[in-house]
Amino acid sequence: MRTLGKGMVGATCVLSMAVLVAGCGTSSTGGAGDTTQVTKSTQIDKKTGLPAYNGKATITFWSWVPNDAKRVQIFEKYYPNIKVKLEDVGAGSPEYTKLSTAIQAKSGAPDVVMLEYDMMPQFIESGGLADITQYVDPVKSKFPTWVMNQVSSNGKVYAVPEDTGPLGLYYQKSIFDQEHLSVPTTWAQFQTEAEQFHQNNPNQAFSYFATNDGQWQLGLLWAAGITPFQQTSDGNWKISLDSPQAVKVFQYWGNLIKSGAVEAVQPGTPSWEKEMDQGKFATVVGSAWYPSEDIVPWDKHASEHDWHAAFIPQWTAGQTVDGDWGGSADAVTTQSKYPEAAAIFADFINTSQYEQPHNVQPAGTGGGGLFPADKDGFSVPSFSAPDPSLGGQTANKDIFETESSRVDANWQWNPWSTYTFQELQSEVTNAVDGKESWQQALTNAQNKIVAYAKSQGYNVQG
Amino acid sequence: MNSNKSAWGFLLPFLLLFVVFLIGPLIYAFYISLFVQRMGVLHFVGFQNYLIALQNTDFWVSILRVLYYGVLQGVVMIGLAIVLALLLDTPYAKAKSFFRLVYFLPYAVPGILAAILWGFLYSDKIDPLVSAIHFQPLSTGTLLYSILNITVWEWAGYNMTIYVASLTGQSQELFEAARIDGCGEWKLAFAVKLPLLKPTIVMTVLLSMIGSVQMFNEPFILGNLTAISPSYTPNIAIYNMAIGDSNEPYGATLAVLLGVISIGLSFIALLITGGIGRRRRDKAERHSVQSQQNVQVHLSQG
Repeated sequence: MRTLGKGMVGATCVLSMAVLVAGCGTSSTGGAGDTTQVTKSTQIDKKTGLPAYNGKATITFWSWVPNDAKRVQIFEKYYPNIKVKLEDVGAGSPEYTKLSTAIQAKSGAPDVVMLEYDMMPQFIESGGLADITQYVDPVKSKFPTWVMNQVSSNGKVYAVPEDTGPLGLYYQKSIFDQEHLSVPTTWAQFQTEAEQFHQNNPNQAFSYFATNDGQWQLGLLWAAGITPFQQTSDGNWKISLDSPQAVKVFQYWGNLIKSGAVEAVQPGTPSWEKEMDQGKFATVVGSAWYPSEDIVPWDKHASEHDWHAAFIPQWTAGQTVDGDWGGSADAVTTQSKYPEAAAIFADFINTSQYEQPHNVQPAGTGGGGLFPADKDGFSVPSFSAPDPSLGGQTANKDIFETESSRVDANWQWNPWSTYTFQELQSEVTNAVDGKESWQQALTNAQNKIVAYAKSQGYNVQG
Repeated sequence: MNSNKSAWGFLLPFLLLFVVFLIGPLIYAFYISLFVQRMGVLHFVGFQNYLIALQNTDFWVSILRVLYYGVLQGVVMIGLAIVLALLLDTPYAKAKSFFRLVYFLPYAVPGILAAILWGFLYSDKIDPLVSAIHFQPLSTGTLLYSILNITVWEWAGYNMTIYVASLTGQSQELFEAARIDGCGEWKLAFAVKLPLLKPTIVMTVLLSMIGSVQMFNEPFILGNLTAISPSYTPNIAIYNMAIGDSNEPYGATLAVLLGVISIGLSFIALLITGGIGRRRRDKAERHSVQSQQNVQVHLSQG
């Protein structure tokens, strides 16, 4: 789930406490916080397994998931006391703009809001999201650790995960068959094949590099097991965007761009849409949701191109590490008059057995089209159904369920995501244009982010 | 006294809106700019945001960029508008009203739509013309000139209309006299019409300068088609900071700085345009004072 626009793309978030040892699922509800603590009702509704709600409430829900009216209907059937007003105020940045304004104005925010993971820290820091730890605790075990880390900060949970976007490699099987290429498993192999392919086909590129998508670029680092933003237990930040490892990843793509084997593009622009339709790129680094969001809408010859999904190449042969690109969670705002009803709603639509079949069903046939964050969603029949946009490949089951378990749980988004993306994209564009070296580009971005964080009163080591 | 009251009465609607929508927000923006925001709580930091802004090279580069752009626009767009207006004002021009309308039409296209329209024309791989000559209007080096092209297209006809109106308002006897004295159309345009247009030109140049400093629409829209710096123009920087990064205090800081610069420019504009008018007024006043004194002298002697 991602939006292009304003070069601001969203995705994931958060500051898990560094104290949280990866893989350990114990929750520690932090001490007296400065946020609203939603109190828990004691009765459990037998049918739903979630708290019963006896009062009457009307809540507003901002979301851009396809066919979400259906999801709301299912909820209202089980909770007739809670009326939900669904509003789609835009996908990604248009919504964040409105939310940010509403938080600042102290009125006008919805009760429940869909946020990509990378925007979580920024909105947690804005003081606009309610602490719903008590409500998420009972369903916490349904989510992979790395996903829970994305919606937690200082031991408090601020949202219920909805969907995720583990990375994979999409490739046109038609080209690979014709060129007798095998699907690359390491980046070294990817590079060799890329240069070879471009030499034989000067009018095509082996892959593309998205200059206008900082979220995607950082996803490449995430998939390499690099963690440029880390909050230490004392609340300080360590920023290392220009570490040798990070420079190595960007330099790698930079060299491929220079040789022409990879094209620097701006996804979401008409030029890119046209190239997608022409099948100009033999491979694409994309997420679980990539076919439904980017291949089906733009590549009208997808069946000839015969796209398939594969595991993402590794930097070291035999490693199994991945990153995430996109995915969202549903948060409750501090402006909500019915925080309890809102929290129950966010829980139910993302974890209930009554909702999962609808959530996982492809958007084209009336479902939500989500790659679910809740692991129970993996056992819904439609999750393992052949994907017609990938030549009938059962990619969710074969590739992305495994990739989801490989996503590095140490990754954290910082509270200045928008700023980070903008500055990174700007510097990366300079590097692509040859105005500065990749090392220089990352150092510039690093220095700007550190200076900005300090100006906001954060303690930063950079 | 009464006339004073009625003057205030007439001024009231303007003053009310001016205070509510300009002075009030300015004061509020300045107030907000003295804080930083953490967890939704404002913490007072005095002028710290201003100190940070002074070291924010990207922001000052963006100010220089729009000033440079303003000068370019002043030369290219105003120059073109003057040429078109003078051409239309010659007796040889055919179908005057038709061409006036044609030149003016782009101005009827709202700025946002114009930017979208040109954005598509500028996209290589879509525009066959641009891709045929391997030219990339949206690349970082050329972007500013591509934006200039949009504004010239949009505003040249508008300014031309102002000049044509100004020329039409001049007394035709003057031009007749010049022609009788053996003045050709070239000479008439440069030696007579152009000097007459001078105050109008000064005003339009300054207005377009102030407009350039406020540039937002074009880069905002084209940013969807190409990568532009998050502080490409001062207004883009303010928007990104206040809305994108949810950092209202620092956004307000930059806005106050830009406001001060804009007000400074407007003030200079007033001085220059006012100065032109004043010199004439002074002359006229001196004459009238002189004649009054003469009259008084006569009376006292009488």
